[in-house]
Amino acid sequence: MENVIEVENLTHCYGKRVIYEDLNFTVPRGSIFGLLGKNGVGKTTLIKILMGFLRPVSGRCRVLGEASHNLSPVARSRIGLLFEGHLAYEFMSIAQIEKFYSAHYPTWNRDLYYGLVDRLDLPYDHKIKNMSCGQRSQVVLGLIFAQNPELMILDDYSMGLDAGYRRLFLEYLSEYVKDGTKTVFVTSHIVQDLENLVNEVMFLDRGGEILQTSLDEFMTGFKQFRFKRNGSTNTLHRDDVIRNLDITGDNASVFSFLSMAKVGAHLAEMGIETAGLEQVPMTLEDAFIGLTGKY
Amino acid sequence: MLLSIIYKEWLKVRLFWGIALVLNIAVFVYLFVDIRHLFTIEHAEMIWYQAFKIGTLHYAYMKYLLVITGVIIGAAQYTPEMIGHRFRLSLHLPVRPNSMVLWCVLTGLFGVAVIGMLDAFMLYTIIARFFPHEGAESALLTALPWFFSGLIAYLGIALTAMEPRLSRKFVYLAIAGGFLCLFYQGNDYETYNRALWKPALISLLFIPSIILPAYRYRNRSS
Repeated sequence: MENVIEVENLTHCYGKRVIYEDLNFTVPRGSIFGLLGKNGVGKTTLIKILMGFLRPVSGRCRVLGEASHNLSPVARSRIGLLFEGHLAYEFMSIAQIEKFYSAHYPTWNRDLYYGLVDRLDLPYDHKIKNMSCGQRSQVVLGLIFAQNPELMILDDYSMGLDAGYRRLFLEYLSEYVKDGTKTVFVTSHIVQDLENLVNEVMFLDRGGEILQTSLDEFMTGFKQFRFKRNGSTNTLHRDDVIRNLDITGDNASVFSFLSMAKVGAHLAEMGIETAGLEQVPMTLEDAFIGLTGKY
Repeated sequence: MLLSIIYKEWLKVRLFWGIALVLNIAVFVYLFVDIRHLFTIEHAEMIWYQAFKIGTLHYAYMKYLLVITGVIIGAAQYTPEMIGHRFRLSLHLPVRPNSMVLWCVLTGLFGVAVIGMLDAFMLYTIIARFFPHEGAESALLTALPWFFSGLIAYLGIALTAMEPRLSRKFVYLAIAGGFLCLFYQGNDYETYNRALWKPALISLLFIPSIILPAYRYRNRSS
């Protein structure tokens, strides 16, 4: 399958702080790709690199077949980019911003833009600077959809949005990608929202350690096992089998990619008593925290 | 597409361009009233003596008018782009970044130049009303470097605003300040008659040099 984004051996640092070292991943065409990671792991930095706003220390990034630091105007016209914080030209009004952007994109769909913006029930001469974050997100989303891009890059679309606006955003996004020809690369702090949207996920950790997999594989392969906390649980630690652990109240939980039988045997080898060991169903958010830790 | 960029720039500056225009007109109205008042309280031969023997510039207070205009338009144009790194929105447009930046700069320069030409027209008309035609021509030649300084002020603000690194911003401000000083040497009539083309030509280099900070903005490493 053709890849719309290819990252090879990407290394980036801010001063002495290493953000990624030898990061490799690909985003296949037609996928809805979720980039997940805690604050400060470099999600926005990665998007800046992909869009050519930041030059990495080393490595190769290609977007739609072109070097990311030198994207041609044609390639940029095929990419819809949502900047963190729903960045927009705030000095423009609803109508002015549509008029401005429509001149740049040959397949501009004016109706899609006004379909979303009309929900705001604001006059078209209303300035963007006088809008709430949620209202601005509608305008920005409308502009991206009207552009009809092949690749949509959404940097933390959920920032500052209440549940209603987030739901509306996701509904439009689901509608947009349903024919399977569009690719979406999305980051969000609201991991739960992505559960019903993405089909590929990549977990980014500090220093760039990652796991890239399909959402289905991750949700079926990654498991949480819970048992009663006891004296022996104090010696629990992470290793090749136990990816993470959480001891809260009367319960101890371990997270692993292996089956309950293998994890149980491993815990027994470690001398851990596992009375009442059971697998606990997880949401994507539970699994995300299970993989990356609470803080 | 380029018309659309001009449209965006116009939306940003139109209010401040209007304010700058009103300011310039107000100063020339004052100049008219001031010279008329002078002719009311002084004998004409005394004014002639002041202007053409002693070398008093009756319109000297408009010296920095275009500089202020350039700064106002430059700040109005680039501040909204630089706050919150909104300039990235422009850099993501499907237009060659250098063309986009040059069109932004040319739009702003045009705005300053239009006010400059209007100033020149008002200066000529007012001086010609009270002095002989040669005096009005001389006033234009005397004020020409001040008009150039308006363009330099605008370009200096553009250069400084687009530069991502603070230390370099100060360097660019100092360079722009140095170029401005080139146009304010001497307080006499037609000081630059034989020399203006040299600093003017060098100053034109400011236009392509804006490509550099814009390039640095989109290729920074932090």
